[in-house]
Amino acid sequence: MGNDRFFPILAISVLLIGIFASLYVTAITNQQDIDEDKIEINNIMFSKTDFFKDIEQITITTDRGEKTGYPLDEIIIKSGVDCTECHKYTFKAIEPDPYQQTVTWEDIKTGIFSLDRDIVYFPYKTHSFWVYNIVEIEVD
Amino acid sequence: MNEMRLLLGIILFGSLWGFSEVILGPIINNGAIMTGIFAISFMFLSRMIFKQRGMQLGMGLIAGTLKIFDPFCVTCMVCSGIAIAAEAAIFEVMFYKLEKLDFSNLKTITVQSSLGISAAYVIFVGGYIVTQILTPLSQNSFYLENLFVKIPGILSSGLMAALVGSITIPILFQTNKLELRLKDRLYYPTTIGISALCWIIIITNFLLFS
Repeated sequence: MGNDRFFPILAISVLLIGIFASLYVTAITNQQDIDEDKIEINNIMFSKTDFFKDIEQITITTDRGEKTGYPLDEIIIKSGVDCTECHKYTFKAIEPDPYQQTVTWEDIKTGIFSLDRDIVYFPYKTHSFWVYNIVEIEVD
Repeated sequence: MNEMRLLLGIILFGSLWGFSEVILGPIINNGAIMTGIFAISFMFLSRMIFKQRGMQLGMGLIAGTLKIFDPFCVTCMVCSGIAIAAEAAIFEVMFYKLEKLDFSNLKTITVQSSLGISAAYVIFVGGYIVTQILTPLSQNSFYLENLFVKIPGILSSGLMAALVGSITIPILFQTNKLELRLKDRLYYPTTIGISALCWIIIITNFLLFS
């Protein structure tokens, strides 16, 4: 096949892949009925208003300045997880597109969760672990 | 091909690519646009001028090395550098078997735009996936399921790179008709001077803002 036909066919193929991927992402995002006051931790749905009212916020220093939020270790313990060191913790977001990152208990002990953008900050990890718009914390 | 001329070409285009990534990258702040304009332009332009396989990988290694001096890089800096080199490697693989390394047989705008769409999309998506693997790996936190979840978003974001690439490549083919050539007497000092200037600005920028 000559280049005159090969490149247009390749271009149409990659465009179709991109378009279908966009439709999939849009469908996944719209499919979820997000209640902004709810967060799922270890398969239990909590009301943020009730869950966080007894937890004191702390301030940590990151390479992007000081950040204030709720200590992740307290959140995990309060959600009822036993043997906190035995698990991995996956922070899941679906907006603007599905995204998740997994960390260990050692990371959890240093991190915080901020209700401003529903974001987690880890001072000793790269920013790709600062997942925002979190809807679920999965405990594995 | 004079080896010294080729080596200086690699350094020049690699330095310009690195300069665009480090200095213009934080301003543009969109990886798809960066790939669709700069990565694609420098790799195609150098291939059209020098007609040498492997040159773009060398450029990618230089640009990737310069990326380490990006004070605004928010991910693993070494990983971002490797991702740039990966983009160059993907280009080399994509066009390894292309007849006539100068792309001179691609005459119509349709074919040129198609080339831009295909190259920009594949190179951007490939580089993006490499970053999504290397960054968690560097933190001992790589899990395959996290990558799979991200794949639709990556494939979707490649559309912007494809759109930009569809415009960049036809423009590049038009500029290539200008037949800009430098005599050896001017070529060596010009390439060394421009490359050195890029490095000085990048390192000064790093020292000022890191």
